[in-house]
Amino acid sequence: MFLQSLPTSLNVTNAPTPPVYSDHFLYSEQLQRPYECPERPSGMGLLITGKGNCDFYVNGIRNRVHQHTVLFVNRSSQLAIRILEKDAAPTLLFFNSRLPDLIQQSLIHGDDVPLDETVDTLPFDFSFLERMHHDPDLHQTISSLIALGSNCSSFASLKADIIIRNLFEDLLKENQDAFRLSKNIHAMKAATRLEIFKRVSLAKDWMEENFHSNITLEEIAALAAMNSQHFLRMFRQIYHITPHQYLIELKLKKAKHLLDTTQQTVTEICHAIGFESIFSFSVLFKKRFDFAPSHFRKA
Amino acid sequence: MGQLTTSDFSEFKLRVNIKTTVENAYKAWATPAGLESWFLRKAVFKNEKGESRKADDPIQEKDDYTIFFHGYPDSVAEKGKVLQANGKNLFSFTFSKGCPVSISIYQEHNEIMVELFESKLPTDEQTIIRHYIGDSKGWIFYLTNLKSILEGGLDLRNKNEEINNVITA
Repeated sequence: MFLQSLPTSLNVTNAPTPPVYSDHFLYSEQLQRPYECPERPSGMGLLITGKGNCDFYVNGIRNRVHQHTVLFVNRSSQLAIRILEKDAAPTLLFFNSRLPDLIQQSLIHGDDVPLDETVDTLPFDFSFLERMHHDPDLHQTISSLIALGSNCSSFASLKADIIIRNLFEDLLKENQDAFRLSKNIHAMKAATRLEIFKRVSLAKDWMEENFHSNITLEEIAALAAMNSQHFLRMFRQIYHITPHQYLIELKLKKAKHLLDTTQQTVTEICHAIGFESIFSFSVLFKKRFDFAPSHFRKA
Repeated sequence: MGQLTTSDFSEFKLRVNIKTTVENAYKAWATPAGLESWFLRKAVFKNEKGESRKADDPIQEKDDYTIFFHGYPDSVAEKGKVLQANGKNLFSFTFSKGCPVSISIYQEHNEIMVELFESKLPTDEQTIIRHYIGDSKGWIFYLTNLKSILEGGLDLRNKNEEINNVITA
């Protein structure tokens, strides 16, 4: 992996263009000026910003990336970049176009990857991930590669390779899960299933980020650009659980984590996860984990 | 100590002289505890049945390994396979980019020579920069630490998690 400034190769006057990478590339730069690059076929990549907002256009649709969000771009999607904020710090991690197929194959076949096949042409579909991800951990992992890219530590390249492979394995597993879950949607066309799944996933990510506040079904549905009843139906079809049940599950899991790892009182935890009634919290917690919160901590 | 003796970027050889015995040098490479004493934070070797080797058990040919580095979480783990372990003086395994690394241990002028040979590296420009140079730099430090440990017991590795971007981890 090389750490490089923003790619002139994405500019119209320069060659070569993605997705013909011989290896994965990490571009990172603190901009001193606006940066624009016209639409081009993209390699598979993850786009973040370390500072400020960056606009990435994928197939003509604007995605405003800010800190803690990660935009996944599928290979061959049309990518344009427009960053007007001075001091923004975009980071673009593009993968060798063979890498995803090799990893996907190894996930399916174990270590016996048939290298004699032209794997890059295999019909693996990674489009389920092509959206904005609200994932601070993923953001942090990509940021850690920036340090490794200009690092003198022993075997820095090997460690970067390991991180990239792990990161990609996680993403591809998520893509496989997404593909499996999307089949739960009662829609005739694959493209419709894909679109619905992406929208609902985006809203689900947002719920995971904001479960501790008072959020309504209408707010969540609006993020998915659906009316609330349609969103409720789609969410249930995909995850076999209602958004409300999912929110409760998120709150209870967080409460369990806080009971495990902090000294906060049960009342403090109850409020931190967005429950107003300690009684309701205790009842739901006991139902979910077989112990009341205070007994759970003692146990 | 170490020397880079090739104009062929597909392989490199490094040698380090150590005042020790062949047995001790071999044990430092071919047991999980030995590897953790000078190189790794954690070394997990499994036999063909998938059973983990104990810390002082000799590593065997065809073992699978997962290794972890100081200064990095368990998510940063390299996996590979043991290609040869003759129980005496030869040990080889897959490493960076799956390339074989062979260790031979022999006597020379009343000292023990540990010779590391990494080969079959792709010779495109990026691999040369990243792995030919990066791997040889990494091995030079760790072979120095191997010498230090086997001769005097001083561990040169950085184990302070607050410190990074140093050659000692």
